[in-house]
Amino acid sequence: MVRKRFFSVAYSVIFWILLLALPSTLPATSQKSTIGESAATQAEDSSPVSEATVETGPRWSGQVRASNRLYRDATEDSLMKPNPRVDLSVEAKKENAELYVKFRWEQAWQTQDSATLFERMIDEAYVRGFLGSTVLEAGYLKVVWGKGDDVHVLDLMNATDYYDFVNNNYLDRRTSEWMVRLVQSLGGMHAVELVWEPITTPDKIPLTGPWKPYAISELEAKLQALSLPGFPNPVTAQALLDHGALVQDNLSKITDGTYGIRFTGSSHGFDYGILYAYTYHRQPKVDLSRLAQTQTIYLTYDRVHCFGIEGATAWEGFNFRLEGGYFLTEDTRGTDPMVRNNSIGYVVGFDRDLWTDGANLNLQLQGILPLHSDKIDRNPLDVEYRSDGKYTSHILAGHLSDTILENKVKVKLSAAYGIEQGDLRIVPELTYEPFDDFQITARWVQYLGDRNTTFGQYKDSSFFEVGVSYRF
Amino acid sequence: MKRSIIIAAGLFLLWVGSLFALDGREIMDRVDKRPTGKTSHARVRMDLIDSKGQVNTRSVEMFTVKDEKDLKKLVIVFHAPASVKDTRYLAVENEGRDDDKWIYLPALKRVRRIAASEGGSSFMGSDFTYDDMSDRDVDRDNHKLLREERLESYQCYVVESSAKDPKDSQYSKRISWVAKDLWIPVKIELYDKKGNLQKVATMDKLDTIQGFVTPLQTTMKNVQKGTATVLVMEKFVWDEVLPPGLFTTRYLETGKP
Repeated sequence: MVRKRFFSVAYSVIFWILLLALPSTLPATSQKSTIGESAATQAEDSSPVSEATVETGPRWSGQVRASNRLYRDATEDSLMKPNPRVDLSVEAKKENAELYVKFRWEQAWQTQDSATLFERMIDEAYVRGFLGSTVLEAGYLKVVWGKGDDVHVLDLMNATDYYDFVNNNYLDRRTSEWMVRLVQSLGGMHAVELVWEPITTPDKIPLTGPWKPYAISELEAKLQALSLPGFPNPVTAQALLDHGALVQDNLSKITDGTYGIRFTGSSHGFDYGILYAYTYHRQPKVDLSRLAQTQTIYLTYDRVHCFGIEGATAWEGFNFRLEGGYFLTEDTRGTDPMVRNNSIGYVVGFDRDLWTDGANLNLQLQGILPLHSDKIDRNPLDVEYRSDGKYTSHILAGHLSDTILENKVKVKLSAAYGIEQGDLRIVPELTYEPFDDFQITARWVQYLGDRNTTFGQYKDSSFFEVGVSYRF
Repeated sequence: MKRSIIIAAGLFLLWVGSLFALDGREIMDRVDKRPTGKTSHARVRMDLIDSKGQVNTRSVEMFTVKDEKDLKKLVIVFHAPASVKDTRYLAVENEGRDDDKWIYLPALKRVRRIAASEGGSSFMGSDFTYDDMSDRDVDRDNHKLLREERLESYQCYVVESSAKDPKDSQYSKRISWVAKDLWIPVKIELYDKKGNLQKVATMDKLDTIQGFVTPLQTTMKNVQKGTATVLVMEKFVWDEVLPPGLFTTRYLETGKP
């Protein structure tokens, strides 16, 4: 408790020091340019557009949000209190360099693991340099790979934050990584991109609260039944972590990095890309094989090579897109129960404007197909074993949206349906924007399905939420 | 005899006049070929006036360039309000096929291709659509000269244009008042698919910049909704040297040409 409070105070102090100190490290005067320094000079000297400029000194922007959530199965503990949240970004631009830092703070985090608070508060922080046709980025950042609309199989460079699983914004559900990224323009719309992450970080998975996965509850029940000496009682994942009995086995060394290369281009109305990534499955496997000797449960992660292709085109008013990848693990024959099998993943989808101005339908299908799944099914000790024998996964996700009342009100119905599991997430949502940058949002998020399914595991966490937000 | 000569001369003049009379296609072709710079760069303010008179203001920066085939590329950078800041849009005109269009949304951190037909969508919630903001190929429409008449201080040709392929336009027809001496439409009526008047665009302010006639203020009124959008060129320059990298998806992503 004392440690938590210490970290909380320390992080707040560091946050405010950074916030106050940053402007002094940035250029003291605001510079102006049109589209770069040379153009700026020209514009200032001779062009009447010289005042139509982009500010290049420190530029602050952000968003203040507050929401109130009422869970369907509300208990005194699970009824969430108002959750204020602040996003604050600062950008500074020089002729050939930029600095970008985005801070986030959310009241709900106070109840979470304080060790992760600081990295959560710095949402992104990186520098970007321009050297001719080369762009170099370094720092703590998010990169999106793949042509899907918020549904991907090739977006491999960042981990997913399952604490924020229901967040509307895809980027808010992703966590930044320390990385170096180089983008070399090859002329026209073609470019090649290289990414290096010194250490791969796993997905962030809550061990308590409404978004605790069902698999963790299952593990807790299994360990409780074993009545292991020296283990906390009752056995919870959080207690095991605090007790030092739940540890991460890999993804801590410089050799545990992620490497990626991606080529993208566009020709004759078709955008395409091809990529290779050497990374990890960021979802952990639970290794109980050393439990008897070490009284420790290890979380391990599989190395994976990904070979991917992506494409997008527009035809007859439809925006089509696709992603496909082959995921090569160390278990190509599917015989090693401790390593995930090779798999194929894909996303195909489209969106199209409909009958009225502003109405849009978006549909996407995501498929994951493990190879040699028959061998998984024969071995209950395999890390991918499922008692229901359903190893392929197809999720049909979509939304229908429209704006009414002179674009002041947006109505949206989103849904995601697990075809094999029969589980469903459905979200009707209403957003009212009485004036620019100020929004009031109401949404109902309903999960349906069996407890061992992607959406069904959260069915007790279905909720109604009202929120307000202001951008500046 | 004298009377016959006068009649003959009159007929001759009519014949000669008919030789030089323009039809709707030729008028719109002249509008299209009106001399302008190879590039343009504008800082634009948009005042969106809702049906209750409330005004919301947007700010964008627009760049255009024409290649040797007279095909146009357009980049729009959104500066305000905060909810759309740093959104960037690129349209590339192609010969014989639909334009390529991409948009970069900071919230997605990704450049996204959009369908050409989405040009019929509202531009930033205004009464302009993306297509209204772009030039339209003269060959995509049939043009008919309706009459000649004075509109305020301009002597105008009144030309009706309708898409050869009805699916190729969000409007059933457009009627343009083209100022004779300037070859620029000073008023355009836009009719919806049912043939009802939907919007009226008027050029409120024209000026000569660097030798080219340039509309500096345009109002688009949606007569069906009772809303209006006033588009003001706060700054405008022709023939600025624009880097080729400006008209690429890389620029959309990085904001750096």
